Amino acid sequence: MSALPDAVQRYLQREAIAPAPTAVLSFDGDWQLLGRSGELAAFGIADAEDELLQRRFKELCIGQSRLGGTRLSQLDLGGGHNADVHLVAEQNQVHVVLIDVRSGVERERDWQQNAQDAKLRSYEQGKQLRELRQQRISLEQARDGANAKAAELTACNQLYDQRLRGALADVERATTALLELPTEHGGRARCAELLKQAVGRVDKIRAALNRAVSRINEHSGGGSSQMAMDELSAELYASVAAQVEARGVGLSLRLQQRSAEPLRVIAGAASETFHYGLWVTLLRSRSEVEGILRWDGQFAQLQLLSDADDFDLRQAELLWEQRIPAIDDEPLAYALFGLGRCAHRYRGRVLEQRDSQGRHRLLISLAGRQDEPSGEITSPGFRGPVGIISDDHDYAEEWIAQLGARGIGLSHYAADSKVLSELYEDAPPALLFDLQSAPEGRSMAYKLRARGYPGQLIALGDEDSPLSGSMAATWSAALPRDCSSRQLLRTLAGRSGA
Amino acid sequence: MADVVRKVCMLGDFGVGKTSLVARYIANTFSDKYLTTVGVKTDTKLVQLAERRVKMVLWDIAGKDSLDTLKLTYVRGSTGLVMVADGTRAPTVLSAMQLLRHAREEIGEVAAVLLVNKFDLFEQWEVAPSQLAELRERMPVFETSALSGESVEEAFTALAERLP
Repeated sequence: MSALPDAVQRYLQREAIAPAPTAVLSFDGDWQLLGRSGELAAFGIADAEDELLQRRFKELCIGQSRLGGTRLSQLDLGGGHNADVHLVAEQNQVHVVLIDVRSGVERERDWQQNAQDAKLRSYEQGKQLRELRQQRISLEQARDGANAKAAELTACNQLYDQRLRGALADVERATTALLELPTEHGGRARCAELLKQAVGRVDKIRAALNRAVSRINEHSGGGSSQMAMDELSAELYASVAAQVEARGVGLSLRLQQRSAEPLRVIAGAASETFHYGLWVTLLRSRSEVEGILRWDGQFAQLQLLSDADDFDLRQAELLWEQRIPAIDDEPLAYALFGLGRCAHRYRGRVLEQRDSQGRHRLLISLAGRQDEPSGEITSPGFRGPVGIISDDHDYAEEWIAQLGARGIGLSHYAADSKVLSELYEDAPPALLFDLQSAPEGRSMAYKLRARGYPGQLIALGDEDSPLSGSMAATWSAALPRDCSSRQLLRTLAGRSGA
Repeated sequence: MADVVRKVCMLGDFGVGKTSLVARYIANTFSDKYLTTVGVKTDTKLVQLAERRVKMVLWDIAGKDSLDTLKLTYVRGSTGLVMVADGTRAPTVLSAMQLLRHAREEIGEVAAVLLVNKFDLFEQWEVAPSQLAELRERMPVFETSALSGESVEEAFTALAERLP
């Protein structure tokens, strides 16, 4: 071990640096190594070539003052060597003084590691606590929502019950009145039979409603109520269809299977119209029919299809146009009459079509919602185009067909981060991410949003996670993977402010 | 064109992955064992750009949420800064921005990039994408993963291109 330069020894004394293995590399103004001294082996540089030391320490001292007083603490020199580096100036040279701090670094590392581990644990615990709080809030909100829904459904149930009780009372009064009519006024026996049938059907409807609403109340959840409504709709629809078909008329409600609400409304309205068509028109003011339809006036499209001989399209049109009164006892006539009056009042329209088998078809729509429930009517507001990110070719093709039928263009992109720039450049107003076939869509969506993509990002999947936690900020909405095009377009239109 | 040597400092809160990013970039390696950095460790990397080669001297500085006097000594002479944050800990983005401000007060408006690391743990990320979109207007931002290597090379190259 060679002696340290005098200037360095004076520096160490002046700075009161504790004794420790020390080495010195002395350089000239151009970082040429002039000499090395001290315990070089303690720093793993005893055998290092001059050129290596020159290059390394020159790079290490970039930006540091050569005038002295510079100290770089706890420098990791590699090979398990740690040093405090001091620059000591002396005339035209600078001494790079290395002081071994290995033991101090090890102690500090242990302390620092423990402290940082504790901080990380604390952070994680805090995070979990926040998540638990958020979950509690969500549960409370869900509970409040379910209670409100239950109260609403209970009120709805009571309303149905009142209406049906009233209807039953009317039927009973009407039956009594009819039975008291002289036979020459015609059809006493037939009227009695029809009214008996009507009473039976009203009972069935009421029973179906009660079952459905009680099930909804039991569950008090969105999914359950949807299911109950679907079942209710199916029952009502079956009831209507059976009655109409018995008269040689096919009834087709052109609706998406998942659209419980419009199906329920249309089925309910049509059912009541058909059930009460005869006696309501005969014995009640026509405003009752309108009332029923106005109450249920949200429906958009009802299709009546018939190849029956007695189906007179001309007569139907006249009824629809209110040019002839509904004096026949054919329920279809009264249904058309009632629907027509209601449709006129609400600026509805009727379209007549003839299908390939020569059957007549009347499409009746009400202006209020004529753009909503049917799968064949274009959704308003959102005009696309749309991009879909999916690794399921068939699934993407299905969406292309569905949206194409509504005049909305859809481009298919593979789930590859390489398409990010393409997506960002194209910037369609909305992008759909099929998270089932392409789970990496999550990170792609995040990156797009983090690059300022302004459009809608829709997660298509069967789990809730896309909208949970911080990822909620990425997605505009999450929908089930098998959602209908109507549901999708309604979401897109709603979020685009259309 | 001749090589230029440029000092670049890695700055960020503890545990954000600065050392892992350097290991991935320099040696294409990764260790999932967290070993805290004490003091500073330097490495070099020669970057071939379109018109020149840049030798980056990377200073991997122990993680802190602020720069004390000693750490300011480390950053002197830097012409570039790699700011690192941990996407699973939102506050580390703020720390990185504070460190950037401190560093620039000391060494001026040097080039900088922000690496939001641990993108492999994307599902646990806390950083809102809108926050990154805002930061992107001020500096290049990369979602990186030292574990998978995602965007690491790209981020360092982007900084190299911005070095004087």
